[in-house]
Amino acid sequence: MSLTWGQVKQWRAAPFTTAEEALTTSRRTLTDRADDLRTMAGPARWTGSAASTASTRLRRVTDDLEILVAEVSAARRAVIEAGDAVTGVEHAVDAAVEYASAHGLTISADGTVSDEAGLQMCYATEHDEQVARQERQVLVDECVARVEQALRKANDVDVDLVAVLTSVRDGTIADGSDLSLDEAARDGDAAGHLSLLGPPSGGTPADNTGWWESLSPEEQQRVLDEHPDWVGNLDGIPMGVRDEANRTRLEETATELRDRQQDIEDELAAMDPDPYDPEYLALLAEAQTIREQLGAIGTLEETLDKPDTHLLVFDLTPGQRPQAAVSIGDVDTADHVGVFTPGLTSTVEGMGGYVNDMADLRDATLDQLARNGDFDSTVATVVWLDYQAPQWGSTFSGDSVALSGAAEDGGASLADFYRGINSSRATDPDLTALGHSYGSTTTGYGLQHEGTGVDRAVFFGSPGLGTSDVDDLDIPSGSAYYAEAKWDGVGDLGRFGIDPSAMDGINHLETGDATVDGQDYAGVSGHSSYLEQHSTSQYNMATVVSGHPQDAVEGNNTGITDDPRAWDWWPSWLGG
Amino acid sequence: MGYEVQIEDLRSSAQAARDALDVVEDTKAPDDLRGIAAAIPGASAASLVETVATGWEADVRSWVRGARRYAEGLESAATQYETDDAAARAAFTPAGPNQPR
Repeated sequence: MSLTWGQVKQWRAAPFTTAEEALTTSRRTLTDRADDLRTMAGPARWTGSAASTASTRLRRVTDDLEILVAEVSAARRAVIEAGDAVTGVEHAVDAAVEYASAHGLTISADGTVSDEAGLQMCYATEHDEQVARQERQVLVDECVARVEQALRKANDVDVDLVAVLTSVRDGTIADGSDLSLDEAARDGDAAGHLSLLGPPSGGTPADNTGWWESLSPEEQQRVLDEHPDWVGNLDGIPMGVRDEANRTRLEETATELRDRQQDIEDELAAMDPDPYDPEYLALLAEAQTIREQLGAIGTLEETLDKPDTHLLVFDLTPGQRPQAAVSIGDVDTADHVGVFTPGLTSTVEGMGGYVNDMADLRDATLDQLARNGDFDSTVATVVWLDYQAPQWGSTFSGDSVALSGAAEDGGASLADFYRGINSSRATDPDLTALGHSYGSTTTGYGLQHEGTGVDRAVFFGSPGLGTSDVDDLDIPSGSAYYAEAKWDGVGDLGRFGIDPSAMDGINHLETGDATVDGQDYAGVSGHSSYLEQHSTSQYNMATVVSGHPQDAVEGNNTGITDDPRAWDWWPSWLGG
Repeated sequence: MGYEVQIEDLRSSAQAARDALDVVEDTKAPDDLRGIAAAIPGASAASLVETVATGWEADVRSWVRGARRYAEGLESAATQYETDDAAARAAFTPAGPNQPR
């Protein structure tokens, strides 16, 4: 029988603590009887039928006491761990109730979440109302996820506790074969362990957040110690937790791969090089894969040595290029977060430059905040490369630069990453999506998913956003920005939707030389210079990430290779 | 004669059994466990707690009976050996394999 929200809301961990202490005392009292049992044995030289009867009786009494000690020990262990788990249930219930209260939602006794507050204002456009409605729905869904995960945890505790208590009831904890009461206590203790609840299979970021919140601090630490792979890449888990888990995984994987690399080198050295030997070729292929993976690891190790860097994704899934995400600044607490998705030819091994760019953008964003009199707000930027960015060598497979498959798949992952940032925090940050080149296509696809919580988006050097209609992006009207430099051929491709230079409803950012408040910013040209330090394009991105896009320098740097509809002199009556 | 020490050992063993049963009889483990039932309303484990606690109480009573019977057996034997020299001689010499542990 499943538990109800009304029941689980009444669960309390404190009585478990009381019971644990009492059972500890009771168990000690029983195990202390070991001396009595030794004295109870009659004289060694006593023989005959009376002695034999006494011996049989003493054996039974001893065995029965051992069984009782084992059972009490098992129950005590179960009570300790169930109490810990119920602490997690209490925490999850409190989190769900607080979340509902903070967002004007109500949770009924059967766990149903309803949006009593609803939309509180009128919106200028149908698009904005739809975005706002979806945001409300996201709040409801996140609250539902928290309720469901609290109930999932409570049911899991119940099932585990029932399993131990059933063993006690059925007398299967011990059979009296232990050699002492202490041994019986140890065996019983081992039989009383409860399982550690893993994350929900195929859960949404909100489900994952709800699961994490349903764990007690001790259980969370156990996850980090014993199962860092559960949480390292799991959207919805606080980024600080992911960083800790991923650093562990990085270190362990690096050791494993370096050991394996040495083994392969030894094996190859002992073989005759034979290009027709499948075993030889397999080793060469494995060595190449490991070289690539260690290259990625080397870059990450170097990156993580820099201050305030965090490893939010670390993925060496076989059969694909390494994937990773690194933040500069604390995404869990930052007031403003910018998530940058690089594109064509990006690799983890080569992402160090992007990390530096994002560190610079973070500083530039802080400058913008200060310029607006805000010296308190904090900023975090992220390089997100948790997708298969196309490489020049790609064939026309799903991750070819000519095809949208990698961008669509990456977009779905990216949408979950955005959602995870919001669901794992008590309050959503001001969130800006940044996408360059094929990464802008990925970002465009990502923002076509509902409920990402992204407030603004900056695309630059884009071959298309995966749509020709800016309203397909699930962000507020007027929140999409586009920057294109002169001589950026990729930005003129219009391969995945219209060239954004010619897109209606998108704000255009200057990329040429500019002066703002007496400060000169350098123009950029070509496809790969948008993030250069002290460039106009970097300045503009910083204004958007800081939440002050009104300070951006507008400009549409169109050239002869752009879609004609982007030209200033293109007659409006021709459309575009 | 000469069995006094052995007989005294029997009585000491019987006393140890009585000491143990007094302590075990007073164990609070069943009530300790019952304390969690009210903390998890609706849980299947809550009803099982009572079953286990009741089972422990029965186990404790059974154990106490067994220990008491054991003590009584030792005391009865000690009394017999004190009054029956021949029985005592038969019981304590020679040392046999069937000794209480």
